[in-house]
Amino acid sequence: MLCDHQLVIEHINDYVEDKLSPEIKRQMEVVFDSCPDCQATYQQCLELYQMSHAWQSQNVPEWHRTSFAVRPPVKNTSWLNWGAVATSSLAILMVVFQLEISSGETGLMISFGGNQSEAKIASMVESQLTDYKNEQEKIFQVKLTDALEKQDNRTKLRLANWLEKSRDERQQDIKFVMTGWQSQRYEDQKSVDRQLSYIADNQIENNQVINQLIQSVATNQDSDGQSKQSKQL
Amino acid sequence: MFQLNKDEKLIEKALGGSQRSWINLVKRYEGLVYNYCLRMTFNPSDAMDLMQEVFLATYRNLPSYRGQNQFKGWMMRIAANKTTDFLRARGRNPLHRAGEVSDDSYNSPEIHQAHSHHHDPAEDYKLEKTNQQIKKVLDRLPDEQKLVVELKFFQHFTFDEISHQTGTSINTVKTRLYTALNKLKGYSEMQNVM
Repeated sequence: MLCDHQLVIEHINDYVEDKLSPEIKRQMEVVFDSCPDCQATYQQCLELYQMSHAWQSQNVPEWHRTSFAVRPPVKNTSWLNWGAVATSSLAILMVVFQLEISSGETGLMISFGGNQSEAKIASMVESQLTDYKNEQEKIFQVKLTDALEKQDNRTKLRLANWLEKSRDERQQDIKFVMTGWQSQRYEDQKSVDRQLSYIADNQIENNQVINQLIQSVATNQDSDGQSKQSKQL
Repeated sequence: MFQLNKDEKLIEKALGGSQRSWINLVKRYEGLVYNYCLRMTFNPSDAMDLMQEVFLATYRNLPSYRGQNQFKGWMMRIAANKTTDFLRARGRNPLHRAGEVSDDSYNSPEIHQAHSHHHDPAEDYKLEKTNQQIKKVLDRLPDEQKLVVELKFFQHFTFDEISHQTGTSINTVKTRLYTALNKLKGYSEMQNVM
């Protein structure tokens, strides 16, 4: 029988691992019985499986597992660097301010601004102080003038406001008094009118009473006259 | 399943910046990868280099890991790619004596370091001898066949997984394996290993 080994190629591992269906397994066994090459391949496969189990696992040598997996550590600047920076800065400042240190009869002298004598330095300091004083006086004067002007303006403004306010108040008071007086006068007028009206009414009644009296008197006089006449008669 | 969940948690934490999780993940698989690299390169020094390359690539590609496959399979795919590149580059290196497995690699410093916790030199030597014979057997195979043998017999991946990892068809994988088996027929070193 001519064997094309295809079945073995396809299923050799599954056969060794015993994962084939009984039917294919039987076919494989037939091939192994009939083909020495396939039989040898099967043996080879078995040996390779056994060999894989013979491998003795090696321990991993110590290594840095996070050298690539972590952020690089932040470098702490050493005190030496800071010292170097401070020293450099100091040296630069000394050059800029022309620091000079010299020892003489009076002792150690530290001077700024180059080779200056003590008197010259004193005069320089004096002149600078005078300038500074003048400058400060001018500034003070200007500030004082400004402050006085501001104060004066504020006072004037307040006075004007107060005057305006007091005038308004007085006008309001006068108006209030006038209104009160006018209302009182109106009330008085009304009262007088009422009294006059009352008096007028009373006068009419009085006149009527007087007229009645006069008429009664007249009537009495007439009756007296008639009686006298009758008596005379 | 538990292992898978634990991998996923470690990966998630490692992606969140946890160094400890990454170290735990590496420690879980470094033995597997190192021994794989050792069988593929026959050289402890190269195995260390290759293993570090594999983990470096794994770390860089970790954000793209979607958990769709088992982490081991995903990592071994990276390892397969890295191994192919590594062996190709080494093959181009004229200083490398291709196809030679040293008989005396037991005396190499890496092996000494790896076995430093053992106390029986005779036992160490015996173990190393077995491994050397296995390396000699694998050394007879071309790189692509060696990779398939490694993934099938030592890593126990399925043909489907090997096909995915090597980027070749299942039939090609099976053919390579069959060819490798034929090439190793009657090789005396295999008898010595058993």
